[in-house]
Amino acid sequence: MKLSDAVYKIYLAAIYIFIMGSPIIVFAISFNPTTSLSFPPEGFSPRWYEEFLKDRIFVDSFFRVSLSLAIITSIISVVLGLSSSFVMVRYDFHGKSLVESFLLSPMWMPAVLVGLGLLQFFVLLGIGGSFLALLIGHVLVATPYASRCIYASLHGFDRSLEEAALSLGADKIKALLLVTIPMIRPGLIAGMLFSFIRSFGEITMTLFITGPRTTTVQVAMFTYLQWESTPVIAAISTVQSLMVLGVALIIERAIGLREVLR
Amino acid sequence: MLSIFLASFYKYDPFKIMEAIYTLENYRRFFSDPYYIGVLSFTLQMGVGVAALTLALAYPVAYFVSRTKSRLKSVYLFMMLFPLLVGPLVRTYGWMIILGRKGVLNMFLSFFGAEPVELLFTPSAVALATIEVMLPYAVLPLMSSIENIDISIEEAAKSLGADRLRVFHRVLLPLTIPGIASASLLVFALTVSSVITPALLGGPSVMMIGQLVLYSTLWSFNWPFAAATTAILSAITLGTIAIYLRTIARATIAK
Repeated sequence: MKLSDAVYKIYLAAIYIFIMGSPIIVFAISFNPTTSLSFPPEGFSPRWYEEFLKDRIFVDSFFRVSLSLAIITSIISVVLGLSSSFVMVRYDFHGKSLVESFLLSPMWMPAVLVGLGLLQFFVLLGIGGSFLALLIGHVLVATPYASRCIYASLHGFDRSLEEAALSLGADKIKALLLVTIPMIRPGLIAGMLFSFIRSFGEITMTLFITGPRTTTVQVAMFTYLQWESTPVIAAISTVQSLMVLGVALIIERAIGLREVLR
Repeated sequence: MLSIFLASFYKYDPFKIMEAIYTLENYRRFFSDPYYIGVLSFTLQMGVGVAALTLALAYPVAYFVSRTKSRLKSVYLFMMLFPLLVGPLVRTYGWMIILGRKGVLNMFLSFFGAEPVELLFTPSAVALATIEVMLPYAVLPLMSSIENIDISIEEAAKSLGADRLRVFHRVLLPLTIPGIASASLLVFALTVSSVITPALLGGPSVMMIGQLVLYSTLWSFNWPFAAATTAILSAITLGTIAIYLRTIARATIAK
Protein backbone atom coordinates (compact mmCIF):
# COMPACT_ATOMS: atom_id res chain seq x y z
CA MET A 1 0.00 0.00 0.00
CA LYS A 2 1.26 3.41 -0.91
CA LEU A 3 1.62 6.19 1.62
CA SER A 4 -1.05 8.31 -0.06
CA ASP A 5 -3.55 5.45 0.26
CA ALA A 6 -2.84 5.21 3.97
CA VAL A 7 -3.29 8.95 4.44
CA TYR A 8 -6.57 8.79 2.54
CA LYS A 9 -7.85 5.94 4.70
CA ILE A 10 -6.91 7.70 7.92
CA TYR A 11 -8.68 10.82 6.66
CA LEU A 12 -11.86 8.87 5.91
CA ALA A 13 -11.79 7.20 9.31
CA ALA A 14 -11.37 10.61 10.96
CA ILE A 15 -14.39 12.01 9.11
CA TYR A 16 -16.52 9.06 10.17
CA ILE A 17 -15.43 9.50 13.76
CA PHE A 18 -16.30 13.20 13.44
CA ILE A 19 -19.79 12.33 12.17
CA MET A 20 -20.57 9.40 14.43
CA GLY A 21 -18.71 10.74 17.48
CA SER A 22 -21.40 12.92 18.98
CA PRO A 23 -24.23 10.33 18.97
CA ILE A 24 -21.89 7.74 20.48
CA ILE A 25 -20.80 10.13 23.23
CA VAL A 26 -24.43 11.02 23.99
CA PHE A 27 -25.17 7.31 24.24
CA ALA A 28 -22.28 6.79 26.68
CA ILE A 29 -23.13 9.80 28.84
CA SER A 30 -26.76 8.69 29.19
CA PHE A 31 -25.62 5.82 31.43
CA ASN A 32 -23.54 8.05 33.66
CA PRO A 33 -24.57 7.61 37.32
CA THR A 34 -23.69 11.20 38.32
CA THR A 35 -24.95 14.61 37.26
CA SER A 36 -21.75 15.54 35.52
CA LEU A 37 -21.28 15.41 31.77
CA SER A 38 -17.71 14.16 32.08
CA PHE A 39 -16.34 11.63 29.67
CA PRO A 40 -15.66 8.73 30.01
CA PRO A 41 -18.73 8.00 32.18
CA GLU A 42 -18.04 7.27 35.82
CA GLY A 43 -20.02 4.05 35.86
CA PHE A 44 -23.09 2.41 34.48
CA SER A 45 -26.58 3.10 35.71
CA PRO A 46 -30.07 3.50 34.25
CA ARG A 47 -30.62 6.45 36.61
CA TRP A 48 -31.26 9.06 33.92
CA TYR A 49 -33.74 6.87 32.12
CA GLU A 50 -35.68 6.57 35.37
CA GLU A 51 -35.46 10.34 35.86
CA PHE A 52 -36.81 10.80 32.35
CA LEU A 53 -39.80 8.57 33.06
CA LYS A 54 -40.42 10.31 36.39
CA ASP A 55 -40.36 13.80 34.88
CA ARG A 56 -43.91 14.89 34.08
CA ILE A 57 -42.89 17.54 31.56
CA PHE A 58 -40.62 15.29 29.52
CA VAL A 59 -42.91 12.25 29.57
CA ASP A 60 -45.89 14.38 28.62
CA SER A 61 -44.07 16.14 25.78
CA PHE A 62 -42.47 12.94 24.48
CA PHE A 63 -45.46 10.62 24.49
CA ARG A 64 -48.57 12.77 24.53
CA VAL A 65 -47.40 15.57 22.24
CA SER A 66 -44.45 14.54 20.06
CA LEU A 67 -45.26 10.90 19.45
CA SER A 68 -48.95 11.39 18.66
CA LEU A 69 -48.15 14.48 16.61
CA ALA A 70 -45.61 12.56 14.56
CA ILE A 71 -47.99 9.64 13.99
CA ILE A 72 -50.91 11.81 12.87
CA THR A 73 -48.56 13.95 10.75
CA SER A 74 -47.18 10.88 8.99
CA ILE A 75 -50.63 9.59 8.10
CA ILE A 76 -51.86 12.93 6.74
CA SER A 77 -48.59 13.54 4.88
CA VAL A 78 -48.80 10.20 3.11
CA VAL A 79 -52.37 10.88 1.95
CA LEU A 80 -51.40 14.35 0.73
CA GLY A 81 -48.15 13.04 -0.74
CA LEU A 82 -49.92 10.26 -2.60
CA SER A 83 -52.50 12.57 -4.14
CA SER A 84 -49.95 15.24 -5.10
CA SER A 85 -47.59 12.65 -6.60
CA PHE A 86 -50.46 11.20 -8.61
CA VAL A 87 -51.18 14.60 -10.09
CA MET A 88 -47.48 15.21 -10.73
CA VAL A 89 -46.81 11.92 -12.46
CA ARG A 90 -50.05 11.47 -14.39
CA TYR A 91 -51.07 14.94 -15.48
CA ASP A 92 -49.55 17.85 -17.31
CA PHE A 93 -50.52 21.37 -16.38
CA HIS A 94 -49.28 24.89 -16.57
CA GLY A 95 -46.53 25.70 -14.08
CA LYS A 96 -45.98 22.04 -13.30
CA SER A 97 -42.21 22.32 -13.05
CA LEU A 98 -42.54 25.19 -10.56
CA VAL A 99 -44.88 23.22 -8.30
CA GLU A 100 -42.66 20.20 -8.74
CA SER A 101 -39.49 21.96 -7.66
CA PHE A 102 -41.35 23.52 -4.74
CA LEU A 103 -42.68 20.15 -3.59
CA LEU A 104 -39.41 18.38 -4.03
CA SER A 105 -36.95 20.84 -2.51
CA PRO A 106 -38.21 21.61 0.98
CA MET A 107 -34.77 22.03 2.49
CA TRP A 108 -34.22 25.48 1.04
CA MET A 109 -37.01 27.23 2.93
CA PRO A 110 -35.63 28.93 6.07
CA ALA A 111 -37.39 27.42 9.08
CA VAL A 112 -37.73 30.81 10.78
CA LEU A 113 -39.65 32.11 7.76
CA VAL A 114 -42.11 29.21 7.93
CA GLY A 115 -42.33 29.48 11.72
CA LEU A 116 -42.99 33.19 11.91
CA GLY A 117 -45.41 33.09 8.98
CA LEU A 118 -47.42 30.29 10.57
CA LEU A 119 -47.41 32.03 13.95
CA GLN A 120 -49.02 35.13 12.47
CA PHE A 121 -51.44 33.03 10.48
CA PHE A 122 -52.52 30.99 13.51
CA VAL A 123 -52.93 34.03 15.74
CA LEU A 124 -55.11 35.57 13.04
CA LEU A 125 -57.21 32.42 12.95
CA GLY A 126 -57.34 32.28 16.73
CA ILE A 127 -55.80 28.81 16.98
CA GLY A 128 -52.34 29.90 18.19
CA GLY A 129 -50.66 27.36 20.45
CA SER A 130 -53.19 24.61 19.81
CA PHE A 131 -52.47 21.04 18.80
CA LEU A 132 -54.19 21.72 15.48
CA ALA A 133 -51.78 24.57 14.77
CA LEU A 134 -48.83 22.31 15.53
CA LEU A 135 -50.27 19.62 13.30
CA ILE A 136 -50.76 21.98 10.34
CA GLY A 137 -47.17 23.20 10.68
CA HIS A 138 -45.74 19.69 10.86
CA VAL A 139 -47.80 18.42 7.93
CA LEU A 140 -46.54 21.38 5.90
CA VAL A 141 -42.93 20.54 6.67
CA ALA A 142 -43.23 16.75 6.33
CA THR A 143 -45.40 16.40 3.22
CA PRO A 144 -42.65 17.27 0.70
CA TYR A 145 -40.57 14.38 2.01
CA ALA A 146 -43.51 11.99 1.80
CA SER A 147 -44.25 13.18 -1.73
CA ARG A 148 -40.68 12.60 -2.71
CA CYS A 149 -40.72 8.95 -1.60
CA ILE A 150 -44.06 8.25 -3.24
CA TYR A 151 -43.17 10.21 -6.36
CA ALA A 152 -40.07 8.07 -6.82
CA SER A 153 -41.99 4.78 -6.66
CA LEU A 154 -44.92 6.03 -8.72
CA HIS A 155 -42.53 7.25 -11.38
CA GLY A 156 -41.04 3.80 -11.76
CA PHE A 157 -44.43 2.10 -11.75
CA ASP A 158 -45.40 0.45 -15.01
CA ARG A 159 -48.80 1.88 -15.90
CA SER A 160 -49.70 -0.99 -18.19
CA LEU A 161 -50.29 -3.13 -15.09
CA GLU A 162 -53.04 -0.77 -14.04
CA GLU A 163 -54.44 -0.75 -17.57
CA ALA A 164 -54.42 -4.54 -17.59
CA ALA A 165 -56.49 -4.56 -14.40
CA LEU A 166 -58.92 -2.07 -15.93
CA SER A 167 -59.30 -4.11 -19.11
CA LEU A 168 -59.92 -7.24 -17.04
CA GLY A 169 -62.97 -5.60 -15.53
CA ALA A 170 -61.72 -3.85 -12.42
CA ASP A 171 -63.11 -0.38 -11.85
CA LYS A 172 -60.75 2.53 -11.16
CA ILE A 173 -60.94 2.28 -7.39
CA LYS A 174 -60.36 -1.46 -7.43
CA ALA A 175 -57.37 -1.05 -9.74
CA LEU A 176 -55.93 1.59 -7.44
CA LEU A 177 -56.41 -0.42 -4.27
CA LEU A 178 -55.47 -3.85 -5.59
CA VAL A 179 -52.76 -3.05 -8.12
CA THR A 180 -51.25 0.42 -7.80
CA ILE A 181 -51.13 0.79 -4.03
CA PRO A 182 -49.55 -2.64 -3.38
CA MET A 183 -46.96 -1.98 -6.10
CA ILE A 184 -45.84 1.34 -4.62
CA ARG A 185 -46.01 0.11 -1.05
CA PRO A 186 -42.28 0.57 -0.38
CA GLY A 187 -42.61 4.24 -1.32
CA LEU A 188 -45.65 4.66 0.90
CA ILE A 189 -43.97 3.03 3.87
CA ALA A 190 -40.81 5.07 3.41
CA GLY A 191 -42.83 8.26 2.98
CA MET A 192 -44.81 7.62 6.13
CA LEU A 193 -41.75 6.78 8.21
CA PHE A 194 -39.79 9.70 6.88
CA SER A 195 -42.53 12.18 7.73
CA PHE A 196 -42.69 10.57 11.15
CA ILE A 197 -39.02 11.24 11.94
CA ARG A 198 -39.09 14.62 10.27
CA SER A 199 -41.96 15.64 12.50
CA PHE A 200 -40.44 14.12 15.62
CA GLY A 201 -37.09 15.88 15.17
CA GLU A 202 -38.47 19.21 13.96
CA ILE A 203 -37.59 22.07 16.29
CA THR A 204 -36.85 25.46 14.73
CA MET A 205 -40.25 26.01 13.16
CA THR A 206 -41.98 24.39 16.14
CA LEU A 207 -40.40 26.85 18.59
CA PHE A 208 -42.49 29.60 17.01
CA ILE A 209 -45.85 27.87 17.08
CA THR A 210 -45.69 25.80 20.23
CA GLY A 211 -47.92 26.60 23.19
CA PRO A 212 -47.82 25.77 26.90
CA ARG A 213 -50.02 22.68 26.48
CA THR A 214 -48.41 21.64 23.22
CA THR A 215 -44.71 21.54 23.97
CA THR A 216 -42.97 18.93 21.84
CA VAL A 217 -40.12 17.03 23.41
CA GLN A 218 -37.58 18.84 21.20
CA VAL A 219 -38.82 22.19 22.48
CA ALA A 220 -38.87 20.90 26.07
CA MET A 221 -35.25 19.77 25.76
CA PHE A 222 -34.21 23.04 24.12
CA THR A 223 -35.81 25.08 26.91
CA TYR A 224 -34.22 22.85 29.55
CA LEU A 225 -30.78 23.18 27.96
CA GLN A 226 -30.98 26.96 28.10
CA TRP A 227 -30.80 26.77 31.88
CA GLU A 228 -29.17 23.54 32.92
CA SER A 229 -27.63 20.45 31.50
CA THR A 230 -27.85 17.00 33.05
CA PRO A 231 -27.57 13.55 31.45
CA VAL A 232 -31.38 13.30 31.41
CA ILE A 233 -31.20 15.00 28.02
CA ALA A 234 -28.71 12.36 26.93
CA ALA A 235 -31.16 9.65 27.97
CA ILE A 236 -34.02 11.17 25.99
CA SER A 237 -31.70 11.79 23.04
CA THR A 238 -30.63 8.16 23.09
CA VAL A 239 -34.21 6.90 23.11
CA GLN A 240 -34.92 9.22 20.19
CA SER A 241 -31.78 8.22 18.27
CA LEU A 242 -32.51 4.51 18.63
CA MET A 243 -36.07 5.03 17.47
CA VAL A 244 -34.84 7.01 14.45
CA LEU A 245 -32.19 4.36 13.75
CA GLY A 246 -34.82 1.66 13.58
CA VAL A 247 -37.02 3.73 11.32
CA ALA A 248 -34.07 4.71 9.10
CA LEU A 249 -33.11 1.07 8.63
CA ILE A 250 -36.63 0.26 7.42
CA ILE A 251 -36.56 3.22 4.99
CA GLU A 252 -33.15 2.13 3.74
CA ARG A 253 -34.54 -1.33 3.00
CA ALA A 254 -37.74 0.00 1.46
CA ILE A 255 -36.39 2.52 -1.04
CA GLY A 256 -32.99 3.76 0.19
CA LEU A 257 -32.30 6.83 2.26
CA ARG A 258 -30.58 8.56 -0.59
CA GLU A 259 -33.75 8.60 -2.65
CA VAL A 260 -35.48 10.67 0.02
CA LEU A 261 -32.75 13.09 0.91
CA ARG A 262 -31.52 13.96 -2.52
CA MET B 1 -45.00 34.37 3.28
CA LEU B 2 -46.61 37.47 1.93
CA SER B 3 -47.90 38.31 5.38
CA ILE B 4 -44.30 38.30 6.65
CA PHE B 5 -43.38 40.76 3.99
CA LEU B 6 -46.28 43.03 4.87
CA ALA B 7 -45.76 42.70 8.59
CA SER B 8 -42.17 43.76 8.22
CA PHE B 9 -43.46 47.22 7.37
CA TYR B 10 -45.81 47.38 10.34
CA LYS B 11 -45.23 49.57 13.32
CA TYR B 12 -44.29 47.93 16.60
CA ASP B 13 -46.68 48.68 19.42
CA PRO B 14 -45.84 47.35 22.88
CA PHE B 15 -49.51 46.72 23.64
CA LYS B 16 -50.89 45.38 20.42
CA ILE B 17 -47.70 43.77 19.07
CA MET B 18 -48.58 44.89 15.56
CA GLU B 19 -50.33 47.87 14.13
CA ALA B 20 -51.22 48.09 10.48
CA ILE B 21 -49.38 51.32 9.89
CA TYR B 22 -46.82 51.04 7.18
CA THR B 23 -43.35 52.20 8.02
CA LEU B 24 -39.77 51.53 7.03
CA GLU B 25 -38.79 51.86 10.66
CA ASN B 26 -37.98 48.17 11.13
CA TYR B 27 -35.57 48.07 8.26
CA ARG B 28 -34.06 51.41 9.27
CA ARG B 29 -33.53 50.07 12.76
CA PHE B 30 -31.79 46.99 11.41
CA PHE B 31 -29.48 48.77 9.03
CA SER B 32 -28.64 51.72 11.27
CA ASP B 33 -27.63 49.74 14.33
CA PRO B 34 -24.02 48.54 14.19
CA TYR B 35 -24.99 45.58 16.36
CA TYR B 36 -27.42 44.20 13.76
CA ILE B 37 -25.02 44.96 10.94
CA GLY B 38 -22.46 42.99 12.93
CA VAL B 39 -24.86 40.05 13.31
CA LEU B 40 -25.58 40.11 9.59
CA SER B 41 -21.94 40.20 8.56
CA PHE B 42 -21.02 37.52 11.10
CA THR B 43 -23.80 35.31 9.71
CA LEU B 44 -22.58 35.79 6.17
CA GLN B 45 -18.98 35.09 7.15
CA MET B 46 -20.11 31.97 8.96
CA GLY B 47 -22.04 30.84 5.89
CA VAL B 48 -19.10 31.31 3.54
CA GLY B 49 -16.57 29.81 5.94
CA VAL B 50 -18.67 26.78 6.83
CA ALA B 51 -19.57 26.16 3.17
CA ALA B 52 -15.92 26.26 2.09
CA LEU B 53 -14.67 24.00 4.88
CA THR B 54 -17.56 21.57 4.57
CA LEU B 55 -16.98 21.23 0.84
CA ALA B 56 -13.27 20.58 1.31
CA LEU B 57 -13.96 17.95 3.96
CA ALA B 58 -16.86 16.35 2.09
CA TYR B 59 -15.27 15.94 -1.32
CA PRO B 60 -12.89 13.07 -0.49
CA VAL B 61 -15.66 11.28 1.41
CA ALA B 62 -18.10 11.67 -1.47
CA TYR B 63 -15.46 10.35 -3.84
CA PHE B 64 -14.82 7.36 -1.64
CA VAL B 65 -18.48 6.42 -1.19
CA SER B 66 -19.23 6.85 -4.90
CA ARG B 67 -16.28 4.84 -6.14
CA THR B 68 -15.84 2.12 -3.55
CA LYS B 69 -16.49 -1.39 -4.73
CA SER B 70 -16.76 -2.65 -1.19
CA ARG B 71 -19.78 -4.68 -0.14
CA LEU B 72 -20.12 -2.17 2.67
CA LYS B 73 -20.87 0.71 0.32
CA SER B 74 -24.46 1.06 1.49
CA VAL B 75 -23.31 0.88 5.11
CA TYR B 76 -20.86 3.74 4.54
CA LEU B 77 -23.62 5.79 2.95
CA PHE B 78 -26.05 4.94 5.73
CA MET B 79 -23.56 5.98 8.40
CA MET B 80 -23.14 9.29 6.62
CA LEU B 81 -26.85 10.00 6.26
CA PHE B 82 -28.20 8.63 9.52
CA PRO B 83 -27.14 11.59 11.72
CA LEU B 84 -29.11 13.85 9.41
CA LEU B 85 -32.30 12.14 10.50
CA VAL B 86 -31.80 12.37 14.23
CA GLY B 87 -32.56 16.07 14.27
CA PRO B 88 -30.49 19.16 14.96
CA LEU B 89 -31.16 19.32 18.69
CA VAL B 90 -29.72 15.92 19.56
CA ARG B 91 -26.67 16.48 17.40
CA THR B 92 -25.98 19.89 18.88
CA TYR B 93 -26.40 18.43 22.35
CA GLY B 94 -23.64 15.94 21.53
CA TRP B 95 -21.34 18.84 20.78
CA MET B 96 -22.28 20.54 24.04
CA ILE B 97 -20.95 17.47 25.81
CA ILE B 98 -17.83 17.20 23.68
CA LEU B 99 -16.90 20.86 23.99
CA GLY B 100 -18.02 21.40 27.59
CA ARG B 101 -15.72 22.13 30.51
CA LYS B 102 -15.44 18.47 31.46
CA GLY B 103 -16.00 17.30 27.91
CA VAL B 104 -14.08 14.88 25.78
CA LEU B 105 -11.86 17.51 24.24
CA ASN B 106 -10.81 19.00 27.56
CA MET B 107 -10.20 15.54 28.97
CA PHE B 108 -7.98 14.90 26.00
CA LEU B 109 -6.14 18.19 26.54
CA SER B 110 -5.66 17.61 30.26
CA PHE B 111 -4.19 14.22 29.43
CA PHE B 112 -1.34 16.17 27.89
CA GLY B 113 -1.20 18.46 30.91
CA ALA B 114 -2.94 21.41 29.29
CA GLU B 115 -5.31 23.68 31.19
CA PRO B 116 -9.01 23.18 30.49
CA VAL B 117 -10.27 25.76 28.03
CA GLU B 118 -13.72 27.22 27.61
CA LEU B 119 -14.75 26.06 24.17
CA LEU B 120 -18.48 26.51 24.45
CA PHE B 121 -19.97 29.87 23.50
CA THR B 122 -17.28 30.65 20.97
CA PRO B 123 -17.68 31.12 17.21
CA SER B 124 -15.38 28.13 16.63
CA ALA B 125 -17.72 25.85 18.59
CA VAL B 126 -20.65 26.94 16.45
CA ALA B 127 -18.63 26.54 13.26
CA LEU B 128 -17.36 23.08 14.20
CA ALA B 129 -20.81 21.72 15.04
CA THR B 130 -22.39 23.33 11.99
CA ILE B 131 -19.80 21.74 9.72
CA GLU B 132 -20.63 18.35 11.20
CA VAL B 133 -24.35 18.92 10.73
CA MET B 134 -23.82 20.08 7.12
CA LEU B 135 -21.42 17.36 5.93
CA PRO B 136 -24.11 14.91 4.72
CA TYR B 137 -25.91 17.70 2.85
CA ALA B 138 -22.69 18.38 0.94
CA VAL B 139 -21.82 14.73 0.35
CA LEU B 140 -25.07 13.90 -1.46
CA PRO B 141 -24.90 16.39 -4.40
CA LEU B 142 -21.17 15.72 -4.74
CA MET B 143 -21.82 11.99 -4.95
CA SER B 144 -24.40 12.32 -7.71
CA SER B 145 -22.03 14.47 -9.67
CA ILE B 146 -19.05 12.12 -9.21
CA GLU B 147 -21.13 9.08 -10.12
CA ASN B 148 -22.08 10.78 -13.37
CA ILE B 149 -18.48 10.70 -14.53
CA ASP B 150 -17.57 7.55 -16.37
CA ILE B 151 -14.80 5.88 -14.38
CA SER B 152 -12.96 5.08 -17.60
CA ILE B 153 -12.15 8.77 -18.02
CA GLU B 154 -10.26 8.68 -14.75
CA GLU B 155 -8.58 5.44 -15.71
CA ALA B 156 -7.54 6.90 -19.04
CA ALA B 157 -5.93 9.86 -17.30
CA LYS B 158 -4.15 7.52 -14.89
CA SER B 159 -2.90 5.24 -17.64
CA LEU B 160 -1.55 8.28 -19.42
CA GLY B 161 0.64 8.91 -16.39
CA ALA B 162 -1.35 11.36 -14.28
CA ASP B 163 -1.02 10.93 -10.53
CA ARG B 164 -4.00 11.15 -8.18
CA LEU B 165 -3.64 14.86 -7.56
CA ARG B 166 -3.49 15.59 -11.26
CA VAL B 167 -6.51 13.42 -11.98
CA PHE B 168 -8.41 15.38 -9.37
CA HIS B 169 -7.23 18.75 -10.58
CA ARG B 170 -7.56 18.15 -14.32
CA VAL B 171 -10.42 15.65 -14.60
CA LEU B 172 -12.61 15.40 -11.50
CA LEU B 173 -12.69 19.03 -10.46
CA PRO B 174 -13.79 20.50 -13.81
CA LEU B 175 -16.38 17.77 -14.34
CA THR B 176 -17.94 18.05 -10.89
CA ILE B 177 -18.35 21.83 -10.84
CA PRO B 178 -22.18 21.62 -10.92
CA GLY B 179 -22.12 19.30 -7.89
CA ILE B 180 -19.69 21.55 -6.08
CA ALA B 181 -21.84 24.58 -6.82
CA SER B 182 -25.07 23.03 -5.64
CA ALA B 183 -23.47 21.53 -2.52
CA SER B 184 -21.84 24.78 -1.46
CA LEU B 185 -24.92 26.90 -2.13
CA LEU B 186 -27.12 24.49 -0.18
CA VAL B 187 -24.72 24.47 2.77
CA PHE B 188 -24.48 28.26 2.66
CA ALA B 189 -28.26 28.69 2.62
CA LEU B 190 -28.75 26.22 5.47
CA THR B 191 -25.95 27.71 7.56
CA VAL B 192 -27.10 31.33 7.37
CA SER B 193 -30.58 30.28 8.47
CA SER B 194 -29.50 27.95 11.29
CA VAL B 195 -30.90 28.68 14.72
CA ILE B 196 -30.54 25.77 17.12
CA THR B 197 -26.79 25.21 16.86
CA PRO B 198 -25.79 28.87 17.39
CA ALA B 199 -28.40 29.26 20.13
CA LEU B 200 -27.09 26.34 22.18
CA LEU B 201 -23.38 26.43 21.41
CA GLY B 202 -22.95 30.15 20.89
CA GLY B 203 -25.36 31.62 23.38
CA PRO B 204 -26.01 35.35 23.38
CA SER B 205 -22.35 36.10 22.67
CA VAL B 206 -22.41 34.45 19.25
CA MET B 207 -25.50 35.84 17.59
CA MET B 208 -26.65 34.79 14.15
CA ILE B 209 -29.54 36.23 12.22
CA GLY B 210 -31.85 33.23 12.77
CA GLN B 211 -31.46 33.54 16.55
CA LEU B 212 -32.29 37.21 16.26
CA VAL B 213 -35.63 36.32 14.67
CA LEU B 214 -36.38 33.74 17.35
CA TYR B 215 -35.53 36.03 20.27
CA SER B 216 -37.36 39.06 18.94
CA THR B 217 -40.45 36.92 18.35
CA LEU B 218 -40.53 34.93 21.57
CA TRP B 219 -38.83 37.20 24.08
CA SER B 220 -39.43 40.79 23.07
CA PHE B 221 -42.62 40.12 21.05
CA ASN B 222 -41.49 42.60 18.43
CA TRP B 223 -43.05 40.75 15.53
CA PRO B 224 -42.64 43.50 12.93
CA PHE B 225 -38.94 43.65 13.61
CA ALA B 226 -38.71 39.86 13.53
CA ALA B 227 -40.54 39.93 10.21
CA ALA B 228 -38.13 42.49 8.79
CA THR B 229 -35.18 40.37 9.94
CA THR B 230 -36.77 37.28 8.39
CA ALA B 231 -37.30 39.17 5.14
CA ILE B 232 -33.59 40.07 5.06
CA LEU B 233 -32.62 36.45 5.79
CA SER B 234 -35.03 35.13 3.17
CA ALA B 235 -33.68 37.57 0.61
CA ILE B 236 -30.24 36.06 1.17
CA THR B 237 -31.43 32.44 0.87
CA LEU B 238 -33.74 33.09 -2.05
CA GLY B 239 -30.91 34.92 -3.80
CA THR B 240 -28.77 31.84 -3.23
CA ILE B 241 -31.45 29.60 -4.75
CA ALA B 242 -31.70 31.90 -7.77
CA ILE B 243 -27.96 31.61 -8.32
CA TYR B 244 -28.24 27.86 -7.84
CA LEU B 245 -30.99 27.48 -10.44
CA ARG B 246 -29.01 29.59 -12.89
CA THR B 247 -25.89 27.48 -12.44
CA ILE B 248 -27.92 24.35 -13.10
CA ALA B 249 -29.47 25.92 -16.19
CA ARG B 250 -26.05 26.92 -17.47
CA ALA B 251 -24.63 23.49 -16.78
CA THR B 252 -27.43 21.85 -18.75
CA ILE B 253 -26.89 24.20 -21.68
CA ALA B 254 -23.17 23.47 -21.59
CA LYS B 255 -23.92 19.79 -21.88
